Amino acid sequence: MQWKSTKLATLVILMAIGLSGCHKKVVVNTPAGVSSTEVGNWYEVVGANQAISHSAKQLTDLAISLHNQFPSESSYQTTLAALGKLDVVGLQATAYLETVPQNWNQPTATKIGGYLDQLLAQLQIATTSGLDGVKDPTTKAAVNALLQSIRTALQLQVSLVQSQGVTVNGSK
Amino acid sequence: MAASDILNNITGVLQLTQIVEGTAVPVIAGIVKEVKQAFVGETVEYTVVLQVGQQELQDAATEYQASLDEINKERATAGLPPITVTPNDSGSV
Repeated sequence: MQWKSTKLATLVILMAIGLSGCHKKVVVNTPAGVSSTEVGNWYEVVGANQAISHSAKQLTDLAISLHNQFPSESSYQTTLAALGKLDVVGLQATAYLETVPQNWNQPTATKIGGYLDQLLAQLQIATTSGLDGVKDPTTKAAVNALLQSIRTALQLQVSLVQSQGVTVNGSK
Repeated sequence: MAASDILNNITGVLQLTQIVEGTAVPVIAGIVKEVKQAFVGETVEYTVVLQVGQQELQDAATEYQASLDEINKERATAGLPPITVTPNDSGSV
């Protein structure tokens, strides 16, 4: 969305704002019974979910490229299985968020909290099954950056879940 | 008050209005993620970047599925059954 403003139009905007007061403005028209804060929190959760999916895909690609560097075939498949289960839970959480658009309340937070329990558990398994043993410094840095990206986004979601009074197991 | 101060005060939810059978229905388009301001001579250009939830959810689903598909290819090579998505409200796998 883009629009242009000349000096005259800027003056018009100034006058319009002047009539309503120069205080912080929050645009409402949220779903019935939902505060604008809850809408904003829903968008944060959705944004973090997308960040997780993006990093998870990159981590999968990287793990597959490192197949021969895993200690064993078993550790490789265990790592992939954990990443795969993380994807499954991510898909479930994504599908759920679509059913509660712009709505972040305790029931929503409780449901997402359940998904976060699983996501955190699978991420831990994926991390400790072989990815943490990568030796090459550059590759190790790339792996760690992706793991941290996922953890950061998960922690953001955890904090939003906890803001609704819901406990997330396995969160630090 | 400068124009930039006005834009910095715009937060929250941005709505569109759809006409449904002659009735105006407010629809949330997204939230204001960022407001960029650029001066071009005597003209000020404002670009409002929206975070649109529905698109982000679709993008996330696409990436999760792509990741899962790659993993299942590897599992098939190793003779392992695929990991599948089942409708599960508890999030357990």
